Amino acid sequence: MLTYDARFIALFYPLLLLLFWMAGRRSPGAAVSILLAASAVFYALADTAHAPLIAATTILNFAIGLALTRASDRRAGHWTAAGIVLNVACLAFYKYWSAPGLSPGTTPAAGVIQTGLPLGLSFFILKQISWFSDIRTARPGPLGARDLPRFALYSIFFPQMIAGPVYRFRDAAADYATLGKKPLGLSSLAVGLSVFAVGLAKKLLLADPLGTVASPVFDAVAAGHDPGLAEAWIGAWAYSLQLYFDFSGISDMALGIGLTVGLRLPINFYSPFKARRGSEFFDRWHISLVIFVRTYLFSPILRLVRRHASGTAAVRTMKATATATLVSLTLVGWWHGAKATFVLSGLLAGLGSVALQLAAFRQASTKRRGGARTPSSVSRVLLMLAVIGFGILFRSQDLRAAGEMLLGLAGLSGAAGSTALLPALGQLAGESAFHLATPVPGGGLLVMAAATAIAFGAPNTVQIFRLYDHPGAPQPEGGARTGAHLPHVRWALAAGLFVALALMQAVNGDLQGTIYARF
Amino acid sequence: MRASEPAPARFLGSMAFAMALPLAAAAGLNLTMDPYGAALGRWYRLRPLIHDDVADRTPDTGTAARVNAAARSRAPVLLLGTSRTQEGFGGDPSHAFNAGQAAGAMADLLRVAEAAAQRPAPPRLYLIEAPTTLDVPSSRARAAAKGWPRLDDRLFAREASHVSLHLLGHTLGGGAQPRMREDFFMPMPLPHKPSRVERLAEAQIGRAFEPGPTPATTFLRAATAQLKRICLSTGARIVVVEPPVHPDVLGDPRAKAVVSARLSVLRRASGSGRCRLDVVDLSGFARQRRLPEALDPANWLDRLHFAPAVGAAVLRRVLAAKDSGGSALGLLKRRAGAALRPRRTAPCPPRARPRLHRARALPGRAGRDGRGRDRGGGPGERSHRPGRPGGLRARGPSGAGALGRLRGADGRTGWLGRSRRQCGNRSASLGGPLGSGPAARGKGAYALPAAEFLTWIRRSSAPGLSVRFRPIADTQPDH
Repeated sequence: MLTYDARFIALFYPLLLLLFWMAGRRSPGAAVSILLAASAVFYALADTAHAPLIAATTILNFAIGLALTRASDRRAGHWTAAGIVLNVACLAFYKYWSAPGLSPGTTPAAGVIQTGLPLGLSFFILKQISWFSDIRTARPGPLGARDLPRFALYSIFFPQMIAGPVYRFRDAAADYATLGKKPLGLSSLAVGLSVFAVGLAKKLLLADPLGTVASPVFDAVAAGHDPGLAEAWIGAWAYSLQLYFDFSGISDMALGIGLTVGLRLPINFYSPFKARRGSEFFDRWHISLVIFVRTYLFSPILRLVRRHASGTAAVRTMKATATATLVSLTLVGWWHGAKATFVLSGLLAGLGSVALQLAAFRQASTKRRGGARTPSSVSRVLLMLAVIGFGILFRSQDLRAAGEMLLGLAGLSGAAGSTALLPALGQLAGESAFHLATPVPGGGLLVMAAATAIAFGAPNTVQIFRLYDHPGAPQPEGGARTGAHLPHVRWALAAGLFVALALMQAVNGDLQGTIYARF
Repeated sequence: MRASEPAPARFLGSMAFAMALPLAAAAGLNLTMDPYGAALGRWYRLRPLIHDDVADRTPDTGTAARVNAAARSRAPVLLLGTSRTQEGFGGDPSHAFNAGQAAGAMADLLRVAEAAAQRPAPPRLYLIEAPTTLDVPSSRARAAAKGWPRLDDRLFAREASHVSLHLLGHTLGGGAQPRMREDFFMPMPLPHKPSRVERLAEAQIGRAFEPGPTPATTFLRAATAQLKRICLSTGARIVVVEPPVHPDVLGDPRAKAVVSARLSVLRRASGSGRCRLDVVDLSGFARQRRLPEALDPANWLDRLHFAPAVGAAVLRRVLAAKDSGGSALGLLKRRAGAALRPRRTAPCPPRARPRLHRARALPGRAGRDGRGRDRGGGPGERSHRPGRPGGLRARGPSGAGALGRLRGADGRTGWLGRSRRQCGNRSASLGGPLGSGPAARGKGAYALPAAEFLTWIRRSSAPGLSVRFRPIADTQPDH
């Protein structure tokens, strides 16, 4: 059971809300217990085999954290290192050694240690690393380091266990510390449910139909098909959109669930397709991971390299920035999985970012000298091409298939031309445009067009509901007020309709799964 | 709350209303139209059609529908396979039940086969297209695991509403019965595909001939055991056919390698003994077994799906082929459990041909004896009662007999079948004057229009096994 499952939408979540809000009126202190129990049940239902592992790791990490807060500075460093190494080793074992090709939750072999990737392990481990780092810095600050239930809830809060967002402990501590201690208003419930509904619609009404467009093309290429120009573009663009709506939908659902129980989870997406250049894209895509990497990886590396590099201050900064960027993004690619396509995508992202940094330095100096800047439209097109390219690397079975798709984009793979596209467009009214081994449905193509318009033109969840006070949110645009906001009542009607349609889709039983739960 | 904001209670109420309204509308529509037979199936029931507009759109892509339909079917031949079978064999549901299922996996086919085997009159021949997929896809497995269709599927599933709307349109449009799927759901492949198909076909090849997953042999071994059980309990013949390959693909070494590998795996898993699976390679990679019809590109809907002309040729070839024991793979009629016992199988003289003549009372020769016990011979004979005139008898070599029901001029019906006495007697009998109507059908009778059946037999029999029928003055098949 995941958050877009019909059982969750129709039973688990309503029952939880009922219990939470009823108990909240009588004994607000029960909030943590209720949410912790719900999270445990949720994980046990979603991935029964690995639930004991997650429980044991949580308790062990809490114990290490407790020891850390009581230790001297030097010993605290050792405890921190031990905790981080232990968790990274656990992640490496499951992700890269045990069953790198398996989907989360699958357990091909039974035993004391269940193989297969535990659901949400990557995100869980990032939170644990954050716990060790932040608890050491703030020690013995008021972070609730001695409160096991709150720490356990922070670790396994169920909407985040699927695909984040990554919640730094330093951001979460205050919210978790006050959870159940202040009353929640109906407004928070209304906004939370609306955000959840928007996320549900993104996942089930946009991302899943987009998957029916992208998957046949990528699967055919994996099976040896040489994609034509139109096929490659349709498949690649559909996957780029699918990845965005799937991931941002899951993130919005988590955000909404958090709001309904009084937790302000971090913002993960802020209309990334509206970004005008690469650096801006990183500020809008998977924001919580970028912040995590910036905090715990990039900054320490930057400081380290700048301290030891040679040259002038500017040169040392440049070297340090490039090194930190390259290492961070390569590790992020590796974090996604052991496949060569992931590692390569991370490396390429790093190299691209370094190139952009150099270009930005050069552009800044050119601007100072009165030179012309790269037009925004050109940089947007280049950015979208990069997004499509990385999407191909992420989705392709292997490097050969990725190469075929990239060649297909250039019209260099298989039969050239757009002959496949025209009949497909001509049969939009039908169910199957290709109705062959690559049955791209006409309805999926329509959804792709709608999703493109939404990605480039529609306001995002943060803008609609003014969630600017959440971690990771940008500064309010145009002086907008912060704090959750209930928009016009037509949004309520839209949200209700979204839930109904999504429920029908979920009951239908052809859910696509979560892309990021596989990472 | 800010002044510009709506009241949270009003907001939540509006949201609940907007959510409940479409759900209630969908539930009302689906209850009324009842597309999956949730109540009484008042407008529509899952039907044993080749292209069932509802069945193929369900989350299990029609497996449950086929299971149900196969269990209700009376056809002596069960065709199992993927869309190639679905498209390529056509078929009259009364003669050969085509349970081809788009992207059907071996697991799906086994469910249908098992259901058919439980019938009072199980199929005599299971013609199984060599599976390219063994395990069902995860989405379909989920549907099967959760016992589709459940009440929530019937009330709220998107597809249920989709089909209900179509049914409503048909009903309001004057036709209470929905049309075939191609009329309004899914465009069927055209006879002549445009050139775009050519490129996509490459992907088809890759998919169609992709080797199975690692545990393929294990899976096939279990599947074989299941089929063998069916054979032992019903006496049916089970034939696995590697279907023809498009002539353009015959030169593709990858396809040849994969087909060879699959055949090799299938043959290894086919078992031994009387109930071993007969694996027939009609792919065309072996030149001597090529079907001329399959070599004509005009007989292909695309490079994966052959037209019914090729399917008919496949059927003829299969019926003519010899099994491992040297018997013809015709519509052999064996009583349930007969395969467990040794039988006298005297070789048949080559000139022997079945002859149809009037069968007088055949007391005790086949079917039930006077005490109602099943004496073997097949479903036709089961309902034979002695002392009733008006039957027909066909004579012919072993294996040349066929099953079917003929109706005499007096309105009574009889069974066309082969006697269990084999060639020593060579009397393929029409199982005598039988009861007709629901009672007989309840006993497992195949209610076939006789003329159609005879036509089908003539069309599908191999030249060496063709059946000649002589007109009989006083007992004419009913047209």
